[in-house]
Amino acid sequence: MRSVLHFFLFTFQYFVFFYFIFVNSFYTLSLLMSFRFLFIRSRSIVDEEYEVMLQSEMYRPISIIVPCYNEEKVIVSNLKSLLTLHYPEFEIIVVNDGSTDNTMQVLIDNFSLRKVSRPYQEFIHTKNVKGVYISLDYPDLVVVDKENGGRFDAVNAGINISKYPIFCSIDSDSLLEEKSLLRISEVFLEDKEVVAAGGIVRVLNGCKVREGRVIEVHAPTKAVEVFQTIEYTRAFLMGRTTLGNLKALLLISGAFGIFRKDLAIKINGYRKTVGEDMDFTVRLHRYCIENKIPFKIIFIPDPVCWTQVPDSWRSLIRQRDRWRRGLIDVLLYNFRMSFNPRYKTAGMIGFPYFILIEFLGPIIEFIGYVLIPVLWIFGLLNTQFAIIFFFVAILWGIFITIGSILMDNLLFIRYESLKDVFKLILFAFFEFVFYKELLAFVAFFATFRFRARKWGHIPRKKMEKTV
Amino acid sequence: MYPVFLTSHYFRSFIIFTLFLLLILDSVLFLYLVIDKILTERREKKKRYSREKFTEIIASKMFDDELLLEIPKDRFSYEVVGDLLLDTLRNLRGDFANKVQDLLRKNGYVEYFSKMLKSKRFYIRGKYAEKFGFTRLSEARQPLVELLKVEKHPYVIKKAVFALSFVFEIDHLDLMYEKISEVKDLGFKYVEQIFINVIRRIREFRNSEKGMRFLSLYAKLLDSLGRRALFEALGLEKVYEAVPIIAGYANSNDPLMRISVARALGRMGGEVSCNILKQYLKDMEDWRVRAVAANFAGICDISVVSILYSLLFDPEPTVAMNAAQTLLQFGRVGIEFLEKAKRNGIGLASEIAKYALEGANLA
Repeated sequence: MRSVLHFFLFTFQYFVFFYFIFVNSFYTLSLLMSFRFLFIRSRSIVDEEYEVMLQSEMYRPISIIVPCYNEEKVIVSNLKSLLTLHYPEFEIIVVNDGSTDNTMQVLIDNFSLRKVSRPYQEFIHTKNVKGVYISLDYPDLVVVDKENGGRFDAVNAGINISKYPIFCSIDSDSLLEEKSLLRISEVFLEDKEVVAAGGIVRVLNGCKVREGRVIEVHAPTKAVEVFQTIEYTRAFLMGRTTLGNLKALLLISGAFGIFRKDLAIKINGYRKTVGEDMDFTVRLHRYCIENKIPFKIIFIPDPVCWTQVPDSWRSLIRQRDRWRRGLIDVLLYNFRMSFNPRYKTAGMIGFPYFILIEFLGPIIEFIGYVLIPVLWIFGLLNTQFAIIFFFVAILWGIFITIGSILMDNLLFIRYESLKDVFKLILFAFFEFVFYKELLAFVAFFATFRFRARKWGHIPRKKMEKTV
Repeated sequence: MYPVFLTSHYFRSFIIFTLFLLLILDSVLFLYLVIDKILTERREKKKRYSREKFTEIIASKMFDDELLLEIPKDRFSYEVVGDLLLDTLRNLRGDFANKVQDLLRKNGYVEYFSKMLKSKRFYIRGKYAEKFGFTRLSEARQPLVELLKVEKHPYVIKKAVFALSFVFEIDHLDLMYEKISEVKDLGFKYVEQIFINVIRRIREFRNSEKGMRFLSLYAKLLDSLGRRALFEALGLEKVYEAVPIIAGYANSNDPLMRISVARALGRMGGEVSCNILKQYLKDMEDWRVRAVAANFAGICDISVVSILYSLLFDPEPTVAMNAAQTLLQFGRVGIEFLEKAKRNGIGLASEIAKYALEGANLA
């Protein structure tokens, strides 16, 4: 028995070492690839182009779907921001998913809503729609009041009622930059094969917001928010850019994505799962490949959507628990795509990435932390090596993080003061000695409760108070 | 006791080397980031300052014969002023636009953009081709044509054709057609906008009728997407000379083509267009064709009202909704039909009629 345990511990050290090399090499390679892509993208943007789009017929009308549940605090400022977007023709469909607070009344009062008998076709089955409202003040605003069915059901109801051929789904606690819609829809104009596109989601906490617009970008004040800011920068600028370039982008964030409506209907809309945005993107891949439809699902780094991230550890843990369960559910549901050459890069790169790195990573990490004392007890821990290895891991991680922040700064110039950049780098160090470990623990335990369907509510703050 | 590699001297040296390498890399990146941030802050300040300063100068030059702007020698300021001039030009027409174009000429932007078109980097060529087009200067024509003749990169071809569509001469249409055909995956709306630019440019020629006929001939050469984009553009720009050519495709087997034909003719009106729309209102093959035809049927005479009334009972709600909205355009007669549907209709037809009347405050 003892020798079996010895063998396991012995082998596990090999495994961890090579896994560490594999993951960090992948990230380093991603960093280099995304840098090249982002450099070209940032150098080829001509702002004038968007102005031409605004003044010409060169646009495709868009339906913006905003599902909301108990969002009375943020819904008004968010909608006001959306209604001032620079786009020639769009409609905003707010779907009140059976809120138990005053969301509906707040909407009625602030936007002079009037109930109408607007007919629509139920392409995708949803929970009962109690009423459709139009605004007397804003002709482009439609509010759908329906019974609670979850975020997926709310977006599906929005798809049913939308009138334009492409739709954009955004979270009600998010803000879009003025030209984001123009920038993201540009790809639908220029390339007929694009079926879905995602923009970058950035952290709103800490930024100065006035009348639904981000007027000053700052790093947040709370540690929990700063850690997430670093994570978002790295995940979007490095991870999504690379996967998008490799045609293996399996996740377009629910906070800001744009999709072809006809295909959304073909795949029966969003599915009931806690990871519905990833599931939707994966099923789009599947449908297009299985039906031999030429398609592209892409990530564009410059259209920005600002979103509030959890501002307490408790909320963060709840959110990550949900993300983890969502990931596992989606991977299981679409498992036949994994390592399957039929599904091209999605099956051979996208799925392996999510299985080997996103899914396995936290488990291996957790076991590693637990085994350190065990190895030490059994005399299998080479202390000197362990310390060096620990520092290599931290320095390599910091290299990747600084690389992402640098990329952000070189190409998109977001943070206005040096102080903010310093803060991010300082926290990048602490990320590897506390934050990542915490997330690994959360993800590990969430793995065993992946069948739970509970969303968990994250409290929202008023946008103007985010600074 | 430990995995072999952990006790290997070479491995230990290697891992320590890696540790130091990473330490150096991290420090270099950090320093680079700090320096870049400081430079960025300065650059942004300078940009804001230049924009403010030159906005005033450009405004004052509108009434001045002296056209030199005295732009600082550095490339950054030069770019900022160039972008500002293009930005100003976008909102101007007539004499003021000519003045801004003169400013671009006099301050060396023609030579600058021409030089950038020879860049080795494709994204630079593409970006400046586009900027050159936005100047709408005749001097942009030749460099863009020369670029297109040799260009292989689809991104640059796309941008250069778009740019040339603002300033081309009729002889360049063949080249534009040939080059744009080389670019695969071009989006429908993008091609449509190129054709809109082309039509607007042709209208600037003395013999624009001949130009339009020439353009219409492309309908035969183009693939389905290009042809549809051309028809949509002709409709949007109301090129009446093109009606017979568009009508020639009215019986296409492709429903998307029929949709484009309906939209183009619906925007132009006339008897031929109306007859085709009436035919489309009864298109049983694809509801989208009926929906578009119902949307544009307002160009027809009152005889179409009874057909629109029958469409209120169409199984596709979009068709019925479009028919209801168009019925409102026929005034009293249309409203009577809507009220009849509201009273007698069952289910959706009644609801749609009610909704249309409510929208017009007639419920």
